[in-house]
Amino acid sequence: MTIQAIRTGFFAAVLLLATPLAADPLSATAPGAPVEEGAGAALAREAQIVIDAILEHHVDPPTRQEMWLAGARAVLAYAGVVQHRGLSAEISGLTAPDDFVAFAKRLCLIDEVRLKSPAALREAFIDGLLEALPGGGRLIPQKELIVQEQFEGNRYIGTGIALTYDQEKKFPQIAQVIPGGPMERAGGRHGDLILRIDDRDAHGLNIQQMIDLLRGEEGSSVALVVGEAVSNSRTLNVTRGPVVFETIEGVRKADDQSRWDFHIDARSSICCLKVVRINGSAVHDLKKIESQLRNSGAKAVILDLRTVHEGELHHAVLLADALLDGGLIGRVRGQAEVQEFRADRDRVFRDWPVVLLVDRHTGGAGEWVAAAVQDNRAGIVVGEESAGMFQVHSRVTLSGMDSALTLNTGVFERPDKRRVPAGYVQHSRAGAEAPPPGPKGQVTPDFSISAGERELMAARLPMLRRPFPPGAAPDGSPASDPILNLAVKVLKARLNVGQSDGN
Amino acid sequence: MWGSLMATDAIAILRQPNTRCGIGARVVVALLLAAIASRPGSAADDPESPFASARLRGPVALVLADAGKTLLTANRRAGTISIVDTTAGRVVAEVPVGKNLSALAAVPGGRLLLATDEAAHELLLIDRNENSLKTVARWPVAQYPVSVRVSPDGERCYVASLWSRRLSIVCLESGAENTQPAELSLVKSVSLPFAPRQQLLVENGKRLLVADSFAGKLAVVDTASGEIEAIRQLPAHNIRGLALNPDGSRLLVSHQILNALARTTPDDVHWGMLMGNVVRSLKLAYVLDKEADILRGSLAHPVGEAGNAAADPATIALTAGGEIAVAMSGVGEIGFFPDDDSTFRRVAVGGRPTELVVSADGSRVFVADELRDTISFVDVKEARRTAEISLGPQPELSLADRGERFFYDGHLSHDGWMSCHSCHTDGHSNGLLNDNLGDGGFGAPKRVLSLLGVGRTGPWAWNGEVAELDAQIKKSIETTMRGKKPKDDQVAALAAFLRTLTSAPPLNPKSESDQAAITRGREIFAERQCGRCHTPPEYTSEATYDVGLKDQFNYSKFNPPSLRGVSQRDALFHDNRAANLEEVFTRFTHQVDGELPEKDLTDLVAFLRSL
Repeated sequence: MTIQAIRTGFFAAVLLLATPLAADPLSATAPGAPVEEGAGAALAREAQIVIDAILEHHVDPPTRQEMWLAGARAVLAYAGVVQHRGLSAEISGLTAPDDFVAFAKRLCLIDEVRLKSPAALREAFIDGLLEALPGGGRLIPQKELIVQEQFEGNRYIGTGIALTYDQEKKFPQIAQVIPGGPMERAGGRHGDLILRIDDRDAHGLNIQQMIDLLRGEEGSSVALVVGEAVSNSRTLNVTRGPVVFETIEGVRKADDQSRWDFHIDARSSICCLKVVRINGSAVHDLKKIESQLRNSGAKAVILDLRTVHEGELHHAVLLADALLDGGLIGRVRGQAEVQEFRADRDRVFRDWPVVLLVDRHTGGAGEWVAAAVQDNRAGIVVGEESAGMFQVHSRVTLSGMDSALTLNTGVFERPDKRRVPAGYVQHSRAGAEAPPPGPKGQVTPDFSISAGERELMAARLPMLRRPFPPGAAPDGSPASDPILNLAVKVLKARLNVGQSDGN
Repeated sequence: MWGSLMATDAIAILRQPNTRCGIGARVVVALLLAAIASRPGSAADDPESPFASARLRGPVALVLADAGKTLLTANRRAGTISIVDTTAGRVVAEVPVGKNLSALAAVPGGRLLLATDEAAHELLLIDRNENSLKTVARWPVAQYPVSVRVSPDGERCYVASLWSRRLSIVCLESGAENTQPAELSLVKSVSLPFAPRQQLLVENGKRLLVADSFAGKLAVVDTASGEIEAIRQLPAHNIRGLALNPDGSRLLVSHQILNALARTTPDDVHWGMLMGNVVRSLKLAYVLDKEADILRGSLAHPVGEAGNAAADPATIALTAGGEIAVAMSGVGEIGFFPDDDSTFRRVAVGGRPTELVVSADGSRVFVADELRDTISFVDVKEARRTAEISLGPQPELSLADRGERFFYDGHLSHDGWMSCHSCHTDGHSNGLLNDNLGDGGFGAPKRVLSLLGVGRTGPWAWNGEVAELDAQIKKSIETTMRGKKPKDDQVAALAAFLRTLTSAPPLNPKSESDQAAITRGREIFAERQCGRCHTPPEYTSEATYDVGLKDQFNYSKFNPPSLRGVSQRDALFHDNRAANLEEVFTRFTHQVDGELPEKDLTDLVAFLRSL
């Protein structure tokens, strides 16, 4: 599974809040495109933009001819051309830019291909090209890009609702009001039907149309008539503003429901923080929680990275930096350069034992963080072997296409354990070497659950959106979260040692 | 009317070590004290009063006297000391004592004050008799003195000198009842591996902590021997406040944190990833023990938060209730918070509050506003400003003076996270790496450049792609600080201010260095044709050059930074890869064709350190 595939899946629910799906990312006329540009020339122009970006940025790009071949095959398949002899040989002989333009024109003059719209052909070509690209790739229209960047930075601008559609009454409906967001402040409630939006009747509007109407600049307002029915409605004036999503959740909500309780149980000094997403505010949120924990008597912390695979490299690096007391976070080896990331000494949870929970679904950003912490001996890793997803994807702006391209631009390399600076080794099992990484660089836990427990975990994955302490599992079964239980056991032993050491 | 103020005639007399401060043999300077004209201050409504005259004062240091009834301010721009009656809430006198005052301290048990004059490079001993001040001694100290602390017994003082990187330990010999002519004698001049500013005496004066003015070093000095016991390193820069907690077990340090891994994106700035403003609480025992991890048991109290940040935390003091009071100089506020961070109370005082003191009864805080020339009285319990005292009228500000205000104003940045000063500390540099768009993209952080002398060293940015200073200022505000688009007059004012900044003085001035080595070094500089890129008189040029140094994206053409003041940079090249000037030539063989004999290297470095 590629990172990109996971990323798309992970964000599906969130994108529902505001993002129109790009049915035809290439349909818009690109800036600068000649008005009378033929289908072949247009296809060649956009293909060259995308292929040039791949050749410049992909960690291990195919040849230009290979990409043209993949794209051309996709076009032919889309047009229903079953067989096209000599295609590979023909493309292999192309070298000069004009050769490719001429080929694209010939391609678009094939009878079956001519019947298709130029926009659809371009889409088919680029889809085919990206499908064949090692590590995958995705074209993101500018409109979607803005929203995606807002989500990544955790500074989405909107009204702060998730929408659904009432099939019976034919009105959009508020499925969720984001806590602290503009809609909550305006008085919107879960279950409200949206009857009018500004001066437009919302009856019959589909979700995508609603999203387009709801989105706008920060500070702008939208008037919504909401309620159970037209006869029983109220008007809300919603000022669009930042909608901030929680990045870290606790074990349970505190009594007043306003904040999370992170303690494993009321008497425990061990806390568990479930990382929901690694984005621009994750470190900020972690620091705020740290302050809360210090005042609540906490002495040890579990950071649950299970199922965490989404997140930008940059945000993973910042999170690792916040967990490390100096040391090498890792390197990213690109096509022509190596970026090295070193942590400073400013960190959270200083002097506390820290355990990171990982499982087979911990990949990408979550896995890089766990690897950096483990390799620098800044925490103990408990759970299962991680997924082994070390491909780094980045966005590249495509000038002339009003889009960006996400592609595999590098490989994350774990820190070299032999170079861990002296003095940074903490909380490790006394004298024990870190377990060697898996064949793909996976994080191998310092403490693993048993094979039987792994089976249990696999069966209960859907429940593990949030850790649950012993005796408090959703299904009421004891030992229902063996990874968490093992982490608590490890930490209790560590805290007991610390007390006997006088620490 | 103060023309009668005369420079003190000082006569140096070699004397035997005195018995009071006694450490080894030393040169003692006794000062023949001239009676210096002084007179009581007049009422503020007296047009003849010096504090009725329009001028810039710049209060930078505060001392409470008379059991809190009197507040004394040392004024940097005016070279005066203002005397404020805290009961009446008014200025009662202002006395010229020097050129550019940088610090003020009271000698325990008497009427004597000590002040430092950064421009005259002097330590001043001042006798106060109610509202009159008499400068009884002027004593030359290491150049650019910026802070002074007095030992609890009043027998010694410690003067930190910025650009000369020295700590002067001075014995105070005062006469009976502190009213007689005094003597000052140098006990020891301590060379520091950084440019110092803040100081704090700990362990009842047995040790002195001296903090880096720009980056994050902290020196632990044994006050009895004058020896540096340890140089500690904090993940910090811009250290502007040092204090002890009530039981003396923890050291509080106000500073900033610039994360080289963060980028100057709106998101990283917004969430405080790029610039942190904190009061760090350290266990004093671990600070003093050079074998201990200085950060063990430490906490970083955030000052400000996302959406409402607080650039440039400065002086710290403890209130009677045990709260920490911190001047948030970049946003014109002060903050109060308890040790557990459970609350954070903010009080707007305006301008640039850099210095504060807590009243004798602990109920009030007096805050000096360096740029607006005011003293704010803040009620601690209510977290409310109850009065603002003007130290005197200001003249119409020049363009550069307005620029200085913008330079220190965190409101130019998104949510107040940073001012220009936050990275370009006092116009110089914090010496750290920052990943901004100065090179056109993110991923290759580069050293923050000093702005001292910047008006003569264009083009700007490491890649030299910004031809106009105004354009660089706009770019920095919009794409590094992520502030709103600045107005043209703001940019013009900032440019005017930056053009007033002169290069950092050499660490080894020619007058104190081996002239022969410097001369020989200059010849080597010429022989090796270093001037092709580092062209005198500013020792820079307008082009970019590939000298074989690549950034993380293999970009290798850089505009050569000016070598003026190069001795004041702790690390060199675009990514701080060279730890010192010697490494530039030995480890990185920077433009060294063939062998560079050791003697040549020594002389070349001596020459560079004289620039």
